[in-house]
Amino acid sequence: MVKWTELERSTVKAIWEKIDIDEIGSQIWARVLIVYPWTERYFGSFGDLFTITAILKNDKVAAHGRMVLKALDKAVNNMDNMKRTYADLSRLHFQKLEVDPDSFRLLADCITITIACKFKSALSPQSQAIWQKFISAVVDAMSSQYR
Amino acid sequence: MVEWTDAERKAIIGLWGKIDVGEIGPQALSRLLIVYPWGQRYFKAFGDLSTNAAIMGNPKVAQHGKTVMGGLENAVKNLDNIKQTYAKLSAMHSEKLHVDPDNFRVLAECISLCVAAKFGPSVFTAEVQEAWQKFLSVVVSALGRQYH
Repeated sequence: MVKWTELERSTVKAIWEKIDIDEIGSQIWARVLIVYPWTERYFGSFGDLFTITAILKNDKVAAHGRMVLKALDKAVNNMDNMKRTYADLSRLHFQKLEVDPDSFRLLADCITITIACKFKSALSPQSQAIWQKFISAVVDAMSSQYR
Repeated sequence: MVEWTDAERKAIIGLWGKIDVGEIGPQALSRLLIVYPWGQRYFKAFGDLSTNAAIMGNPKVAQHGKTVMGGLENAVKNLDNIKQTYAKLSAMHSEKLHVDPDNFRVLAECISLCVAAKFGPSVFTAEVQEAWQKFLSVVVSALGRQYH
């Protein structure tokens, strides 16, 4: 089980509280699809993803990003229990959606970059270290039901 | 050989033109040493790295960060030949400095984060991020190339 100090807990919560899910969520998903275009394979039903402009305008992309970001709320509120919190979601991504678990790491990268863009120097090196520890615990939890 | 679209070349060169290596380099290296503290093993000669404040105030860290970031200029000017451009540097990091090549990847990550934080989403757009991270991954790959 991952151990969290009081400082780590409060830093993760402080960062999370400043995140506007509507604003950040849509950006994150656009970045995943543009920076790592092979991830488009999972989104055949989203319509036009053929150009960067199309991806940036696509409502389904924006909505999906917001949905995924909302799900991070569970991790923030269950930092001591992430594996169990995400067990069902992990199994869904493995068995039903057949998502390559490396994709979770790519998504984590885009979330961190988007936050850095938003927070700028307020994301201090210490905060970055804590945030990256948190998000990699989420990535581990999402990969945990894969065999 | 890596293929670059015109848009990617433009994005990389455009972003590079805005980057102050003396500003971003020290930040990126400080973050590496703080976020991935095992990286400190390569910098025993740098003096005090015992706290985050010490790392961020350390002039040798700042100087080295600037040097490393400045080294990216070679890659920007030789986008079609990055492997050869970094062959000697790769051999040096492998044979002389004994640096684990995974460190190149995490440094690239820290550089991208500093660039994102500096320029924000209107400059570091998704399109620019794609080109920049592709560019850095080619650099990372070139630096790891001479390892056996």
